Amino acid sequence: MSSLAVLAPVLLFMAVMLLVSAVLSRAQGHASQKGSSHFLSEYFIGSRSLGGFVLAMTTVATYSSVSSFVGGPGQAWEIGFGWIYMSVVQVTMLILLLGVLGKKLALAARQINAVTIIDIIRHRYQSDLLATLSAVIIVIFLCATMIAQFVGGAKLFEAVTGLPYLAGLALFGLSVVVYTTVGGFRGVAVTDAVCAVFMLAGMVVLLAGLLQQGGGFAAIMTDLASRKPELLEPLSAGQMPVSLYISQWVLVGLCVLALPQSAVRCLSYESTRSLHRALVIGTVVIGAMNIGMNLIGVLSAGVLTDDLAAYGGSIDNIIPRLIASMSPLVAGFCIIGPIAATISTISSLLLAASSSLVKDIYLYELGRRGLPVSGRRVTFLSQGCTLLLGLASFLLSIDPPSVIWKINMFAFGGLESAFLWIFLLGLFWKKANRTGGLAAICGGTLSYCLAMLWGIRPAGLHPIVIGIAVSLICFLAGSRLGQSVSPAVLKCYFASAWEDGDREDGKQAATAGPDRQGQA
Amino acid sequence: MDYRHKLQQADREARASGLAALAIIVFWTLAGFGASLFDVTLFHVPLWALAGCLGTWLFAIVLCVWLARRVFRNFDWEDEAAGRDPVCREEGTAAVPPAGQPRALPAQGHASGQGEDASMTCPRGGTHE
Repeated sequence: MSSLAVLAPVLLFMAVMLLVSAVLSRAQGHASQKGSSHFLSEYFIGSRSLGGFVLAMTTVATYSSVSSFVGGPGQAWEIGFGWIYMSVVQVTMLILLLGVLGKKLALAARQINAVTIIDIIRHRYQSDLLATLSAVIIVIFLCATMIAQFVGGAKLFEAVTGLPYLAGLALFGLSVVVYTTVGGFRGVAVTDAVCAVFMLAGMVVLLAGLLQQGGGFAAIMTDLASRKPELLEPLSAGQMPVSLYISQWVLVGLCVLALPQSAVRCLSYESTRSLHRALVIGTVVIGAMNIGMNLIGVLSAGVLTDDLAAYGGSIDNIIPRLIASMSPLVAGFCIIGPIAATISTISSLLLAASSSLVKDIYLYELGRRGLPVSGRRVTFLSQGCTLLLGLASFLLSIDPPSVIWKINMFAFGGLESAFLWIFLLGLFWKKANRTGGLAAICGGTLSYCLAMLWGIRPAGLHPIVIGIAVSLICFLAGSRLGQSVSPAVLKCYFASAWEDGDREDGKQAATAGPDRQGQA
Repeated sequence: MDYRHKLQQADREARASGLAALAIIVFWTLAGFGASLFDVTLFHVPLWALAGCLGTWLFAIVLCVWLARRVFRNFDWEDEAAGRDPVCREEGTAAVPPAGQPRALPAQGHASGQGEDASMTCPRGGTHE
């Protein structure tokens, strides 16, 4: 395959990403002139100015990673429609994230001037320890995930173009690090939106090419029905047990609202109208992507008809093989989809990890000690940390140590086990307190990691159910034992805290009344 | 709408969203596993796959439109964005003292939050620890 013809669309795409980011970075200059608080708000949440379309696209693009475009459809090739049926549970993501958390997080964030999710945790639970622990967990898990994304993207690039692994890694890896550093959250959000559009476009082109190769939808389906009828069954001849469906509902359906890199988007939108629009647009797009890409996986079984061994023994080779079978220019365009999915996830993870390090740990500690930090230094630290973190992840991706793969394996469920109840109960249960939060984050993360490590699967379910259950028990027990949070803090999150306050005022007035009368 | 009523509205919307997610789970189960009991094929695709995948997606979109139009309410952020901070003024609960936000200590009379900060200092003891 002509590498240049395949490379040209990708190079053009990366150039557009860099350009968009550079143009949008001008907003940081204006914000920086107004002070470091404005810069931080601009750099880490885009000055809360996202519109509905960009909010929807950045939320979907952040969530859709290289596995949504490579690993998932590869599984669909092997399992069939059951895999699409399982992956469609992700249409609840926007409803849960924006519908359940969206407005409450936005209200509280504006009330307390929070720039990161950890700002909210620190304030709600009044705990530096919980905030620092959260920041550390976020940095570790997100960095490992980021490295896995780098590797996945580069391997795909290598498989499709035939160019060396390092060339692909350098091409999109360095670009994403640079444009994230330069553009900050606004750059990441807008480039995410562009990525999401290209993901959809690449998917449509790939589907069209696949249908052409297979002689049309009807021909492929007739072939599958006669040759591989199990692909048309929901349980796929035992390959998709009910326990797997339940596990996936928990892991990628219901608990995704606990992912900090997604939740931070609730702090960044401009108006309630933006949120309402994003809810609808995002659900349309995430459904289209999941159904579309996995349908491509299923249909590719009608084109790539050999055993898995013929494709290198890995389902991860199915989609690259399919793309490589297209004409060079079409392949060049199709590869943009998975690359866009990779870089949009990396950029958001990088910024979330960087904000945890710079703002939630370093700047907070300086502030706590009363040490002054100039506006220029804040700018330098924010961009410098993003750049260094990105470069370190990039370098580690060249030859990732095995421990990275282990951490990555634990990352998704680990973050959910750590933060699900901290977010949910913190925002919707007044009695949630720091003891409960600390117990939940420690108990949930630890139990999940151990269950993963030892392969504990109750009733064949994914270890996430252990993490979530232990985290909940720890949270409830801790909150019962711990000291309740101050009413002034609770007023930021609970309407009923105001009613409690009114009742207290009423009691005081009633007590004070006779005295006043006596004095009179 | 004041802050307290915005919180009440946000709670209502969260409850409705949770119920919507529950409705999707029920629909998904009936449309997929339920329909798989019937050996029906439409456009070369089994009915359970069409209803369970496309059907669930369309049902979720309808629910989102219903939520956005009928349940969710628009309100502005005026009180919050202006940095008036009417809620978190009690000493020892300083909202987000750190990270470049030079919130004045409660004792100093007001919570600025939006001020200039060529150099920033933060109050000690933002939390109870």
